[in-house]
Amino acid sequence: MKKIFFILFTLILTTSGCEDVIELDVPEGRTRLVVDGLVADAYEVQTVKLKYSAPYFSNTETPAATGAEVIITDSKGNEFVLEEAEPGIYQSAFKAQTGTGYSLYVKTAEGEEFRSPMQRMEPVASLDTIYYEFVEKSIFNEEEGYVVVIECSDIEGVENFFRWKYFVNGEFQDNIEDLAFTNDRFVDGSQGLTVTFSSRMLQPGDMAKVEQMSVTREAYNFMNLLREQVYGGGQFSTPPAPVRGNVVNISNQEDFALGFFMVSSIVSKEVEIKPIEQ
Amino acid sequence: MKKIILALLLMAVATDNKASLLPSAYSPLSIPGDEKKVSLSGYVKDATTGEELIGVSIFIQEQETGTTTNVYGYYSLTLEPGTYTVQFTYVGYQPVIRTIKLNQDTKLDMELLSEEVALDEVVVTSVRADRQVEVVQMSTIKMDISDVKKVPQLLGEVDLVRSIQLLPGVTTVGEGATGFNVRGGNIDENLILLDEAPVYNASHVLGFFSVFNADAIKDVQLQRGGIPATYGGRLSSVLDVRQKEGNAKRFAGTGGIGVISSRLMLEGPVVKEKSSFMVAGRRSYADIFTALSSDENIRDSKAYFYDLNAKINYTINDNNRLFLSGYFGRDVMGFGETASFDWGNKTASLRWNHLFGPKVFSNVTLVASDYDYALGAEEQTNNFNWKSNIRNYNFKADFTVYPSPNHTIDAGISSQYYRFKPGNVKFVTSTNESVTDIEAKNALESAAYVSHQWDLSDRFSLQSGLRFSLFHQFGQGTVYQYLNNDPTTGVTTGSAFYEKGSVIENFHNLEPRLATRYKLGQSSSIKASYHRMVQYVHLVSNTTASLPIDVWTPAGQYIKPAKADQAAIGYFRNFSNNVYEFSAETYYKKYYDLLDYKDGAELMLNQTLETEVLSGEGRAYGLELMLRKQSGSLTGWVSYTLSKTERRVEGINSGNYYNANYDKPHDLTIVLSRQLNEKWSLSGNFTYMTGRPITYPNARFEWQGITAPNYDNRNGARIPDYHRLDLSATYDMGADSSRKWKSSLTFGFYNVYGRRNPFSVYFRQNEEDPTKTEAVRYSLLGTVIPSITYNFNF
Repeated sequence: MKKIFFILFTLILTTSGCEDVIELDVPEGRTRLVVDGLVADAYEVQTVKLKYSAPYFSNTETPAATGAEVIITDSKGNEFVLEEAEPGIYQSAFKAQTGTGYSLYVKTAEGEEFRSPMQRMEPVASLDTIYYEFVEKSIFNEEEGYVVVIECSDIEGVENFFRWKYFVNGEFQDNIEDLAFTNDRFVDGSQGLTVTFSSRMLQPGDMAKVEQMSVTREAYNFMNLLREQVYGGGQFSTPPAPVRGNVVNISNQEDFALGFFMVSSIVSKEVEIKPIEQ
Repeated sequence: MKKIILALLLMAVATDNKASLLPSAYSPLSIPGDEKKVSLSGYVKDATTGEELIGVSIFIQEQETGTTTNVYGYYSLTLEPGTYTVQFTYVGYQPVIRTIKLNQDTKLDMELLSEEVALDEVVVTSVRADRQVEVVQMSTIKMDISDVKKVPQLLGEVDLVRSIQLLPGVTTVGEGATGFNVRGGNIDENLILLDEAPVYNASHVLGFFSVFNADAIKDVQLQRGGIPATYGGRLSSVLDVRQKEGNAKRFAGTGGIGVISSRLMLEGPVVKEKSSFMVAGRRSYADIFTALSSDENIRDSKAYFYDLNAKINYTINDNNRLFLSGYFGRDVMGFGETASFDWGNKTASLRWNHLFGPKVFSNVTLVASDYDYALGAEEQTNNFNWKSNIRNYNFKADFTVYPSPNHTIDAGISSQYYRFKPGNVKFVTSTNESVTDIEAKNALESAAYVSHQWDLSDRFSLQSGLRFSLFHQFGQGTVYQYLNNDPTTGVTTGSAFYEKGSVIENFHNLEPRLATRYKLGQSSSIKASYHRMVQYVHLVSNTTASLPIDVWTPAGQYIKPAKADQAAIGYFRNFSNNVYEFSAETYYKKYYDLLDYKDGAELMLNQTLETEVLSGEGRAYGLELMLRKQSGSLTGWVSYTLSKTERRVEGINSGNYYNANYDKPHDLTIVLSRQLNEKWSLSGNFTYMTGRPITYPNARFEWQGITAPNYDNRNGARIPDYHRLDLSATYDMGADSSRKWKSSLTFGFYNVYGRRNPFSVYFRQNEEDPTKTEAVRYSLLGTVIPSITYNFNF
């Protein structure tokens, strides 16, 4: 839906609107812990990545948060200690299940303690088919090629939040346009819902894979807020806001880590692009 | 309260029966010996068109007293029998002085000749100080539509709202944004009336142009402080737009061909001396050019707007007149089969002016208005359709009583029914169809008011008023209950269903209004005012610029009515025989229960809007200076505003005051227009404003390959300052051989020196290197925009 507005508004605004990069002095904010964690039933190894935020114009990779103590606890009372496999990347091999809740605990090298609330892994809706379509060159598409389409169904009667991760030739597509998620507010119980992945044009021989996730309402809100902040600034933007996730400082509820610790069930489908007869 | 109104109504009826001897208990304002007095009353009109003139000064030299015509051009003065010298003065018109022997109630209709029409210049001396010094009202600016037409305009499109933004105390979040902000008020705090019908979205093309076709409009008045009790329902201002009645003397027309649109207005008498009409149309034609494009996608896109204004009046007899007016306008945008979007206003108003004798003027108004939008999209087999509207029916009865020259009493009642339908969405996929229907909300807003203007002496006048407003939200409808009775938790614990017509919630408020004027001399005065305004319906929007799809919502169980108190004082002085007007005003305003929103709030199609809403307070204060010249070959104004507007909301900016989006401390405007010779006239305007506040990121972080900014300090910095110069030149081609057809060409340059004024500054990942972040200046109109417009009239 946002896409529709976007197309309509850019249509008239591009006629006169213009953009250029300018130099600006921006005051530095405090450094915050950034959490990127996911517990999924489809994975053998669960991973939590920890980083720190950086000054806005520092133009380098943000630093990894090394030497932290990272523990995931589940609602059955199990504790999994994650080991630092690479700087800032913490892993543990355990199998996660739908219906079980998971919570993250982090103690940074500086001794600050953070925790996320327990989140239940919800069942994921079915991912019915994956296919691709040929797209011609036009004002929206600088080059021709193939886009990937999936069809899925919603689980009726419950509030579902979807997220899709898109991989091309095994590589996770991490541009902001690839951050695909939605809720089932207008489509509860629907079948044959289509999602198109058109952030890049694929060519014959490319392998495309889509992972469909069942995320929580909080995760959905987080991604929504994140996307607004990244896209922000236009004529119809909402006020910028802190991208507050679900990982909070134990000793001070007002203090929080950026990023999110997600829990999800995952189904996936893969397809190889073959030329379609024109 | 009720008793006062009853008394006034009785008085009105009684006066009609020529029995002005009311029991004194009912008429605290009756003057001893009143029955001996006689009245002088009538309508003041333009001599060439027969249009009623609003705000004409009528001054009795011998008594040093006077009045002004009301919005229907009517005036009434009650005097001792005698012989009087009566002056009729109005800016841009030749004054008229008449000697009248008054020994019985006298009707004196007057026609004034416009200076443009008058061939020989008449220099009038010793005309009393005009309106701005004389009237009790402060913070009021009246603009004749001919003044608006002189201002250089974007793409040559004469635009009322953009012209209003040039006035002191009026700002906008940015050029091209919908609406205007008055003395720290949000855009939904302006009561916009078109022939007394409320207009909910006054813009075309998402805010670039306003819905008012200048050719159809007679006169505009903006009140931003000391708002009289007659008006209510909005916190910050009243923009009263009056359409032309239609030329009562002859058939005439005005029109133009511009870069954006073409327009035509026709007017003329229907029945001589009884009835006249006015009909005007305008349509933009960007879509005609896109249709010529070689690119299929552009060719299939639509973007146009149109409006239609129509009005007819009928004089039944000396005491009864009827006016029927309507407006219908729409914006249509589309993109082939893929997407379509359209919105528009429809209003119709029927008014009945009735005179209960010369001393009591009444007007009864019936209004129906509707604002709606539809949004549709088609993508492969998925198909999406969204509709929303606000319907409004309004009844209003207003009475003005002129018991003596020193007293004027306004009183009235009004009631309006609203039906808000936030959305009905149909979503169709290849296998199923789902409908999301957001419940409609019904409300009734009623009010009764009385306002008394009392000239205590030659120098001192006092206008005191009281408005009692009453608001009901009623069923049918569902009200949800929340954990800890706090909707922001988002956790519902139950719901209650209200039957059709049953009251869900009600509010009532007393709104005192006060305005005084003390004349320091013939040409200067000081004024002070206080008002309390209450607003029961809110525009729900958290974007920088409002969108046509933003919904309105009534106050109810969780969303409270907003209130504002404003106090203002001002100094007014006229120079050089009223050729120059100077004013200085200062105000302080306090807002209560303003609506604000949670971070990342979902406001569209949300049945439980209250879960996304926060409540806050605000304050605004400022100094406004204005020097205006309204006659001669050089006209225009210079205005400067120094102001501050802040908000405080629990849950935003750690609960501290922060700058409102449209807080612009310095605002300088120069608008000048000069008649060079018979053929050429030049106009220019220059605007300088502090850049609007913006929230800058103070850190960045990376999450799953996405680099995002983090913001902690709401509106803590500003975008670069805004300034712009516009120029235009008009060449008068004169009349053709038949002397009927007159035409002119206007050449305009908007943003002459092509400044790239940012609408906003935003931050993004560098496309080549996503680990890098950059600040991007986004300008909407970043170059000089030339235009040419052909105008004609006959």
